[in-house]
Amino acid sequence: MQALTSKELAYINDMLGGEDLLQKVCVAAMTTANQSEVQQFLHHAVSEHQRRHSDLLRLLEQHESVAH
Amino acid sequence: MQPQAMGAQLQEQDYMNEILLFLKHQVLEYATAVMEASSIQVRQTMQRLLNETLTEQADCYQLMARQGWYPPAPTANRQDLLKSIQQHRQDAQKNMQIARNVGIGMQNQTQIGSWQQQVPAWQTGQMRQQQGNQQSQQNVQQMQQPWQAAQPWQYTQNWQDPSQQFNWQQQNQSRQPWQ
Repeated sequence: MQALTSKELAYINDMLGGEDLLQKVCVAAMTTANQSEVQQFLHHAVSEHQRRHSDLLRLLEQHESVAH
Repeated sequence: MQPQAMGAQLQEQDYMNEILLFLKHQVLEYATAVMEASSIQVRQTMQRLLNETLTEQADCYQLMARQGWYPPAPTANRQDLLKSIQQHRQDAQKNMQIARNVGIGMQNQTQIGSWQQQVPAWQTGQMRQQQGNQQSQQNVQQMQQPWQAAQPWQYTQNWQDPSQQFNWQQQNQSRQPWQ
């Protein structure tokens, strides 16, 4: 496996920040959702953003051993 | 009337608008991350997350449209459409003539079909490289996740992340109410 470039690290950091914020916004939105369709969408979205966040985090962790 | 409760607080619709905007932004960021990736592994992960985010954005938009929170865009004028078709057809014909002058596009349909079945010359280098690397990488590949095992040639052909296939199938079978 090749080491991450500084550019890749910067982008992964940005995407992690985006997934984190999207998850928070979806949680906040759930408190205002009246309709079950909206509730269900947001519920699904929160878990999706959590999963994408952990995917990105895993990508960083996998490059730990080759970083120097 | 609840003037105070309504106040500056965000309502259901405002939040969905914000999420939709946010998803659009995230899609563009992922697309840039895909293009700027140096390693195939990073690129594949970013591309998968890009596709997932695009799907979520579409779901979000469809949900909002059904609620009437996102009025459909005005339809294009028929005259404008016909003008565009005519213009781009002319452009295509000019380009075909230019290509014919350098010997491209002389084949008939069956010849084009047989050409597509062959491995393009620019891919053979990568294929050979991939075969050469296979033996030395075999030990490493056993340690890797399924999506790490992809080779450049797989990656250029709309390669689907095997670790995600099960999930996708599941999602296809049971569509959620908002989809």
